[in-house]
Amino acid sequence: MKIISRYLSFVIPLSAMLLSYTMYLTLYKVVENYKNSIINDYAIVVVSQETVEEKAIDKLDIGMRSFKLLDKDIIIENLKEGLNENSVKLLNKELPNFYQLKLIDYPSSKTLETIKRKLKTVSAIIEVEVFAKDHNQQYFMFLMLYDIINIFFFVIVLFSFLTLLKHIKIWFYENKNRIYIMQLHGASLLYCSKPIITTALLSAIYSSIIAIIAIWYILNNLSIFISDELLNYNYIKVEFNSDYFSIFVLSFLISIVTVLMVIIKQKYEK
Amino acid sequence: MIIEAINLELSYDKKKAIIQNTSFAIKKRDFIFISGTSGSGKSTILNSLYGDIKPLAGQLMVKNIDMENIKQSQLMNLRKDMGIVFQDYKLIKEKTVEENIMLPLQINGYTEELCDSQATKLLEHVRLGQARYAYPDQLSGGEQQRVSVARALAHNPSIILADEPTGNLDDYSASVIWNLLKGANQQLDITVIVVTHRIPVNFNINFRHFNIDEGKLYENY
Repeated sequence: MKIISRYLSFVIPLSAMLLSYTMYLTLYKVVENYKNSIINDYAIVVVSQETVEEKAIDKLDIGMRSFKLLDKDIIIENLKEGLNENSVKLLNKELPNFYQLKLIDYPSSKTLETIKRKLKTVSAIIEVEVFAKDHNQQYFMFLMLYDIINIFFFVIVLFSFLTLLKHIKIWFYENKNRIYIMQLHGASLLYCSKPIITTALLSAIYSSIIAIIAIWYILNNLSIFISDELLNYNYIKVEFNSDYFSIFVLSFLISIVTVLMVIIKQKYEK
Repeated sequence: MIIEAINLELSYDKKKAIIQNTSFAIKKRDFIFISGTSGSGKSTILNSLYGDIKPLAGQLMVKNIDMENIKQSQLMNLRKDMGIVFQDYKLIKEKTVEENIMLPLQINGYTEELCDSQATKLLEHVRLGQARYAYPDQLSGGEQQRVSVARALAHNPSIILADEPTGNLDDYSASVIWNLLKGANQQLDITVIVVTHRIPVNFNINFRHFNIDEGKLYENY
């Protein structure tokens, strides 16, 4: 009974932490997928009087995916309504070059400012339109989501860590006499701590299995947890392939670091 | 010399020395009794021999290791070569008799097979074969002390330190413990140091007797 409660005192906080980690990973992936899906629709418009070479933009190192001259005829076609022939000719002659600049990653507001500044260093460019207002609204939503997820994850990790720390300290207190007797016979503190280290390692495995089963179940039964409306969006569907390993690593790391911290503290207290 | 003290001073609080300016030497295979009144510092000397307290002044060498500057790893190795018997037995309650006896063997890295066979031999030696799977709380004081002696003998140490090993026992149990300690000394060549306020009568082997008086250790010839 005592052993079961010892294991539970490790498995419960570790599982809570791993589940919050998977939540963090899921939401992170959804947001990343969403960012990737809208990056195709997002473009910066660059205006210049002279021709701007793609190489010149590439040199600026702004994460350019494509740099394309917009067809003047299409632009004029959209503008010529209500204009006479002469005006259209004049427009055709005076209209500057419009370029569509697409980026590899969805930029932050700060990055966008940097990109704008760098583009303006090219002498031929006379105007840069980053559509900051639309961009900021979307980006604000991302940032808010990120912050909420991060805070949630941090609180759960802290809570789990402190709970584990407390349980390990209680174990050392409960086994004070046993440890003293073992040390009288030449055992090191690490040797005396074998039962708690074993518990920590096995609990890390059990918690990882619980978390992985939970993810597997959720991913295969998304319709139970997410509304049908949301399920229509592709960015909601996430994959966890290599992340199962990171769940194991995190679980082992937290439990071992906590145990070692208490052992080291005990050693120096002596 | 297996143990040598020169002008040794011992104290718990680093202020007033309980043992003052004491010198003694113990050879391999010696059987030593240390006696004295309550609070005279008998157990303090024993504590210093297994490194629970460090000398305040002077020098204490145990198996050629300076106990004042002993490193943690050296202390662990030294203790691995010692058997310690206490008045209150200091058995692990959660472990069976067999597991308690096997403890020093496991710490010394013996294989499970060897631990098992050695435990069987020792349980027979201390006549506790039937109590193999019992827990210390299920045994009498005399039986618990026999387990404690068996544990001290398990790894064939070169020194056994015993602090009032018969202090809580009736005469019969006490005589069993004395016989076990005598056997360890005579048959296994183990140096035995016993702190006691009552030296057994008819102790039919050669032994040395030290007495503590006013913080100093004197040998009685």
